[in-house]
Amino acid sequence: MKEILRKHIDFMQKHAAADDYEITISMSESQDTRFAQNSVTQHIGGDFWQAHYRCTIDKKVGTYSTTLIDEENLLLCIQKAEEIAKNNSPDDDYSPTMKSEKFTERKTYFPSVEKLDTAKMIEIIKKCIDKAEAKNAKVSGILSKQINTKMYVTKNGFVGYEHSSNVEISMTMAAGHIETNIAYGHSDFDRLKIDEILSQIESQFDALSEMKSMDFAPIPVILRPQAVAQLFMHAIWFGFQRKMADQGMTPFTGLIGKKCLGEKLNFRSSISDPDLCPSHFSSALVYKDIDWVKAGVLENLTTSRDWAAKNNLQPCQPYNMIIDGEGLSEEELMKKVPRGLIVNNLWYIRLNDMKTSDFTGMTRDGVIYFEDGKCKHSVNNFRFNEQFIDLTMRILATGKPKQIDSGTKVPPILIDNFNFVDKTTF
Amino acid sequence: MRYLRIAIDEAIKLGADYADIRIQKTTEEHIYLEDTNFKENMQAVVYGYGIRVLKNGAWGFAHSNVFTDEAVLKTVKRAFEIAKYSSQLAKGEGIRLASEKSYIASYNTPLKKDPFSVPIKEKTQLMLDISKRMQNYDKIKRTTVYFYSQKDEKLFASTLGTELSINTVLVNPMVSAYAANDSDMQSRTFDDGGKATGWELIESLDFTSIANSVAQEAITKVNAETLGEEARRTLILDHGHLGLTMHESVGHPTELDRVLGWEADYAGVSFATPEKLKNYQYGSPIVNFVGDNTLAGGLATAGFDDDGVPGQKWHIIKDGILQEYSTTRDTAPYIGLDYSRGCNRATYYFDQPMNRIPNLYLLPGKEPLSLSDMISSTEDGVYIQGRGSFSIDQHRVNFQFGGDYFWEIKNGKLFRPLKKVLYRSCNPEFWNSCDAICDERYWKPFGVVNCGKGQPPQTARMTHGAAPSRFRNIRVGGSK
Repeated sequence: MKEILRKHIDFMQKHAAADDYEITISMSESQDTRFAQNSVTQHIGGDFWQAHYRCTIDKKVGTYSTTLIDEENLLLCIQKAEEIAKNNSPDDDYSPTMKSEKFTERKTYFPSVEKLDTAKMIEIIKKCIDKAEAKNAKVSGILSKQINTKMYVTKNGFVGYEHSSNVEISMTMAAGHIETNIAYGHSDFDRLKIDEILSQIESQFDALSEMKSMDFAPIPVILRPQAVAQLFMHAIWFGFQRKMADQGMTPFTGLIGKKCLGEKLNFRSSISDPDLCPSHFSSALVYKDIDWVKAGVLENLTTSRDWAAKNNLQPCQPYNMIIDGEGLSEEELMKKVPRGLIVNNLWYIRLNDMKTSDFTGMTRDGVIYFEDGKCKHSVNNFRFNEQFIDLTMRILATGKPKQIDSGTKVPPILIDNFNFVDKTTF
Repeated sequence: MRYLRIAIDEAIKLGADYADIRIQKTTEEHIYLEDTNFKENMQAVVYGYGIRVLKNGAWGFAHSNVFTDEAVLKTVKRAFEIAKYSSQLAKGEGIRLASEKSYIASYNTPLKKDPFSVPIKEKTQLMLDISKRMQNYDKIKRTTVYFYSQKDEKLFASTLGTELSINTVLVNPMVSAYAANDSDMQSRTFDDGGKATGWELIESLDFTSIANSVAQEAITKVNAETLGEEARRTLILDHGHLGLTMHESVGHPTELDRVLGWEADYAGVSFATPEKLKNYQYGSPIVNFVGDNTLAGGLATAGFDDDGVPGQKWHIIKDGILQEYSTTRDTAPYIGLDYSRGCNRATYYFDQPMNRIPNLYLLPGKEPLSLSDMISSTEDGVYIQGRGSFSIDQHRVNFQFGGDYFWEIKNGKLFRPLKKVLYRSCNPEFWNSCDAICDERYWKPFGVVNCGKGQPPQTARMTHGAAPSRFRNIRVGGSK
């Protein structure tokens, strides 16, 4: 595959005439089996090729991409992008593409994913359905696998090649008032322990059997790892950007290097974490280990190449999410407060106000009330409104980090006075 | 194109109970201007075909972008094999399809000027003019102008004998300004969500006026006060706001696949279950929602859906009562229907189509009522324009919305501008609290081009619409 991609890239480079450019050729082979209500509802398989050419002529950008990979269409891709660039107006912030840079390649491809065939995928889903039926429940979700191959080159000499695999499963088991989800992914199918996953969802399901209505009010919560991943993914998405901070648009303005977040928060991206299988590079940078928040100090914010060049900074982006934990068990976390809620997952998180990083969202997939260090019963779902910085200040303790997917490893987090503002009837 | 016939013939030969092929070329243009710098000017072509096979009550779907006879045959075989494997887990009869006729037809979005034929220089100059006009205001610290155009060229054939040629085009301009003072930053955006039409949409808009009002209102907003503590208040919501509210609280709950639990793992299910049809008081008696995939300029208007079912118009809520769902050929039989409302749509060729919200809108009030009359008959309330924050639970009951621009109403008059307003409500409380809807003179469409749903995720587009409407006794307050 590498030779095929190289051949297409060579052809495009031969015809590229722009001042600067970047070329990506990628191929993805995927299969997605969707199931719902104990049956298969959609089942998709196919290959997807794409060529992407982004160029600059006199600081004017032009981009064209196509899914047709033959010489006629690759040539068209170049001609169209360069025509767009010539007729565009300038981007004065333009910064040159990456130069040649060496990086240590890590294993991102596992043949076990390629060997996962349709029969095996159906067998796994049958196992999930059998588990649900044994509990008089319905299970819905998706099992998907991808093999991705990508080559990326720039006019300035960068060459990157990546061959990676990924398998993910997500399922929701529901019966009556109970609904709970589990999701897990890895680059290696052999690390996807279906029996353990089914055992966990069964445990979550059983814990929700007795539900009582509870009114909303600020209360301590233990966010389980899936909920933590949701929360931080949205926090990053909403305003974790250097340019926006420097322009006064987010609460992080002027706070780089300052202890402005909760001191128990340690958030980083790592190329060397043994459990995660990240990509090695993007069009902006070669990934390196980086701290985003260290003991509450805001160390870095996502910085684009353009903004970095203009302001003498280093470009960086959170290519994976690792939140370090103190290793406390859930029982130990419960004992830190007299009473509280355990939240399996969060849902529909949206920004209310960018300047204050005020956001809303809801609980999902099960909420359990605990008191005196013991789980008592499940309760209805809630809506919350929170501010990100303020929320991190109320982190009381953290548990042991758990891998959620090939790019996320986070612990359960105990947060005091989580600001619930409404409740649901379910 | 001969590939249509090759695919259908092969599917029949293999023994498919039903099959279709959709050859789809999607061309997109994104031009994004930040201040005076064009950060992106991009065209993308996504071209290939997807083949769907139903066998023994289960779907198989395979896609490819290799256009050869061999590749088409291989893709049909793959779809067939996948369907056979999937059928091992079919329950009862498995998936059945509602009846449908066969059609030989074509559809083209009515337009005067293809947006892809407009010179790039003309587009970028217009965008620069808009941006510079907004930057004439001192307090404006950042501006963005985004023009998006999309063209979909589809050929569809099915084992029913249907052969369709469908070409749709949409244009969507967005203009935003960000104003700052010593302690805050707020934005204001012009965004009607786009329309299925040509470049004439852009030419019909007065961008001088739009740029001035967006900038001025951003400045007004950043200097505005917040509302304070949450209280039960009256809301007047404009079309640009209601578009999203109805999308989330009416559109999604009335998708039959959600009702059936097919989206339970991600997008969620629906409280609007089948026993509520024809008897559930979803809204007050003046609330009438229509699904209409024949709407002129509607983003879901394409002549036919990806099942080969013609566009239709029907009541989803009539006089406040839940009437029908949006349906597809594979969902309708589960509630005993032998017809589909034509709501099966895919985003790209490699996506298996699924149940989607149609063009869905709130009918205007039957009695003459202007916006100024509505405001003057409101003692105490908040008038919200445009879309802001939005969040709703996975059953589509409890929700919270923000907005883009706010005025407090006191004694029948716009009293003072506000910022950071949020309201919380739920189904069926919200639509039952609707006590007035302006008449048809005030009805306007609002497009949604980024409706996310499905695993793997797809984005669909549809048009909503409303005249300004009033809601009583809603919890309204503000973010911190």
